[in-house]
Amino acid sequence: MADTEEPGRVDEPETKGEKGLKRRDFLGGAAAIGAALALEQRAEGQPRATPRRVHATEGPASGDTDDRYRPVVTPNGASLPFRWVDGVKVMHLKAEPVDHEFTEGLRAECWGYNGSTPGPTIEAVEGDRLRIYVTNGLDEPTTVHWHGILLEAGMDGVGGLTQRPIPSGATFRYEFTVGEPGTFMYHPHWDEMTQMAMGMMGMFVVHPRRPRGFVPDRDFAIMLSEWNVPIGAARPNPFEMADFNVLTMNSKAFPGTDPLVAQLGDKVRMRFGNLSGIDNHPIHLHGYSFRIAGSDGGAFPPSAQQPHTTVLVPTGSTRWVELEANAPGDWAMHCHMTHHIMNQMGHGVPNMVGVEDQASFDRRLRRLVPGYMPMGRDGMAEMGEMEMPQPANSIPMRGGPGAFGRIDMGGMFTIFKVRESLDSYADPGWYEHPEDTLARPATAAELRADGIEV
Amino acid sequence: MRCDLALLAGLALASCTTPQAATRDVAGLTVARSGVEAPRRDPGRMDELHPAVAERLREPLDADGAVSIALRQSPELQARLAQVDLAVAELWSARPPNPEVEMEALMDGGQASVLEVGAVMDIGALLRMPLMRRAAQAQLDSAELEAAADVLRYAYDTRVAFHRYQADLQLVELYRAAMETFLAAWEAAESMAEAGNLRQLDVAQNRAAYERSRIDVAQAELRALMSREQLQVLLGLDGRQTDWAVIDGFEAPGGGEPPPAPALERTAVDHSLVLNAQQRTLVAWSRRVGVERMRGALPEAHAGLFAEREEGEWSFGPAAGVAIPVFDQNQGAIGETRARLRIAQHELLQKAIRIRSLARRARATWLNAAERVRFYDETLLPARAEVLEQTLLQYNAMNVGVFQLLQARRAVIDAARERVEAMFDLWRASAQVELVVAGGEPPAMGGPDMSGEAMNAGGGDGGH
Ligand SMILES: [Cu+2]
Repeated sequence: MADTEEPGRVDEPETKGEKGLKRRDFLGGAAAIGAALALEQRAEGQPRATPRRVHATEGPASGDTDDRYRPVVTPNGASLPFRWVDGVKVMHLKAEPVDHEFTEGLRAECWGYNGSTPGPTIEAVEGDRLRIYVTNGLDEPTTVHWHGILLEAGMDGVGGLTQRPIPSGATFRYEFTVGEPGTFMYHPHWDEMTQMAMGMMGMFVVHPRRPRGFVPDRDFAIMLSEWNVPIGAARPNPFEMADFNVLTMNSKAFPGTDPLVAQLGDKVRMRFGNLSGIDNHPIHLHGYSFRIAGSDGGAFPPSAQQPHTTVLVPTGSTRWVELEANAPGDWAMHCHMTHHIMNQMGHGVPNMVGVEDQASFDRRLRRLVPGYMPMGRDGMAEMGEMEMPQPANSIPMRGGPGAFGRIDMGGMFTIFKVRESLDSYADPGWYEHPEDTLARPATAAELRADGIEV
Repeated sequence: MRCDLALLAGLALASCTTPQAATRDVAGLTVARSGVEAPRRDPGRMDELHPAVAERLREPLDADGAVSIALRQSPELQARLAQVDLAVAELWSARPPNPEVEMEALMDGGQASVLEVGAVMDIGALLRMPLMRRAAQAQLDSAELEAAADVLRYAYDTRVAFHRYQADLQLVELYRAAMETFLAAWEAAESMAEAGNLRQLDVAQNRAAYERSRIDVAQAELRALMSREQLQVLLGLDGRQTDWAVIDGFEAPGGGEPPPAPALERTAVDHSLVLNAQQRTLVAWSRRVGVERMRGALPEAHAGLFAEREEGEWSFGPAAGVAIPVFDQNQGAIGETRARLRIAQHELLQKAIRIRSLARRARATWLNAAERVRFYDETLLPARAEVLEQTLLQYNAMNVGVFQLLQARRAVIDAARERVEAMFDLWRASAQVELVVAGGEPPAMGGPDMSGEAMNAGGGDGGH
């Protein structure tokens, strides 16, 4: 069973069993909440404990499993553990500060749930009765709103409107029955601007009671969000309204994003949620045409599903797309807003592109400021290659390693890796391209033969 | 009678000794107090450089070198030293009165029938002579001490002018560096505009800022020129010696903190040449009171010899005359000298108060300036350097541009400029402490710092 697995990481990496890796998926599920249900109730007037900095998911590494569905894969994340109690699926969310790494080189004091941002993905089956305890480990009140779930008004989690906000240190109980299957989200509805800018959000997946139509082999859940972390600072700035410089998938910026791995022939579903402050994200997948199969409003009828390569995920909304993994390779998947595939891009800098090299002011500056280097003359990609001192805890304009040198993108960028055969869904490394299927420098003979003059 | 005459003659001769080499004492005093030597020089030969001065001018000057040149070469100082000769002259005037010789003849048909010859001396003046002489000697002492104080002060003024010039040279360099940051910004703006990245407005703004900074440099250069000229005058160098240089840099003075205030005040009062001079003035006036008293008691007394020839026969006899002080007992002159004495007593007290205050001020200024220099070195300059370093990192991160980088550099330069003023204040305070310890008197705070020419040239008291 799953008790040897890391909580929430039960389906990845894993060993391919005799019957292939699919059966194993069903054994996944999540660790139980167990002792975590021994709730931290604080007596009135008792001093509140300082919020702890949590580095990893807390709670026991075991829990009940649910073999009615194939669990979703939350890249860089996990699913929320649960326990069956008299036919009710009981879960526990704890809002708290988390020490979060966006990618190597950039850590920040964020807020999240159960030790992570985004919080663990909640998984249920249509018709399930859920009882979700929410403990507030923040210094300010919070609530949880179950975005897109149709439920009793009093369970909607809107501070002041449908409930009193959960005071710091207190635990509230939400209980409702989930309806239609689909892709939903959860997030605070109290001091939304701050709490969501700090990372408080999570995916909420409702599986169909009886699999019908498209039954995925790989079911990915990705939360899109945007942050402002001043270069060299270590806490997201929730006051920023427009100039976001860290764009994330499941709160990770490339190269920190885990790749999405599938085997040739797998039916793949990708679920996107967007809780960015103000931006919509057109997520583009290379190498595939997919169908947009639904939103947080529900599944689209097959007749209304159009083929696309880019799915626009508006903020405050979800989309899911479906495809068959029929093209092996390493396929880029990213937001198509170019500033959203940059890491900690400064937007108030004077433009140096096209300024002559070795200009006279360069010589003066070298004299006045030892260590000065001219930058940005030929474009920005050179930035990631230059070895020069950077502010502590920052990833300005840095990309990540690729099969062919450096990938100069950052932010909302990940890789869909499809292979003909896999031993596990762990990262298979770089794709090995069949001979003569790779772009390469043209030879003089080729240019001549085709009449190309350069 | 004879022996009375002998006594008088002895008195007169005793008063005749020549007052000589009075100014040797000035040199001795200044050497003893501060190690500075101010040799008297012949005005006719001042046109030539003192050999020691010529030697010094070959190397870049330090403060001690400047002082040593000034004390040998400055006509202003020589003029001051020559004033001691005025007191010496007064000593000459305290000499015995000359005898009066009278001759009378009665003519009878082309022949002198009766001939009278008399020689008398003012006995009263002769009796007052020793006391007058002692008063003049006290006045000469006072003049010498005052001259020695002036030598020390002149050395101080030269030292301060030297450091002012050093400071102004530093400021020129720092204003130039600031100007270079503006120039780099303008050039950067032009390059960016050429690449099509910047508006002409930005170029114009950067150019205007650069042009403005050139005025700062020009003004700093003028100030350095002025303070050089002040020093030139204090050094006593004429148009043939204008190409001297000073040593590079402007480091903090060596030596520790000044002694605690009570000890410093005590030393200042004990050593004060001005107080000493005032005490000698006091003595001089009290002796003059004695002189006038004597004159009051014995206003006129003559004694002498009288000879008469009548019909070929000489007859001799003593002669004497005395005024009886019935109406005029010389109260006017006695009252005046006694008033002068009282004034001098009050002045002595006032000068003691002043010298104590100057000592305290010098010490307080030293402590304050040293603290400011330390603050710049240990706090503000490192803080600005950290800003520059972090700005460079942000620039490397392409989060700020060259303009902000240059601004951060400028902030470091600004702090360095302020530090130069603090450093000058420290040097000046340090020279003030040395001066009061040696027995000199620094200028009062806020007062002019330079003497003579230098002061008239609109002398810098560091108030740039
Ligand atoms: Cu985007």
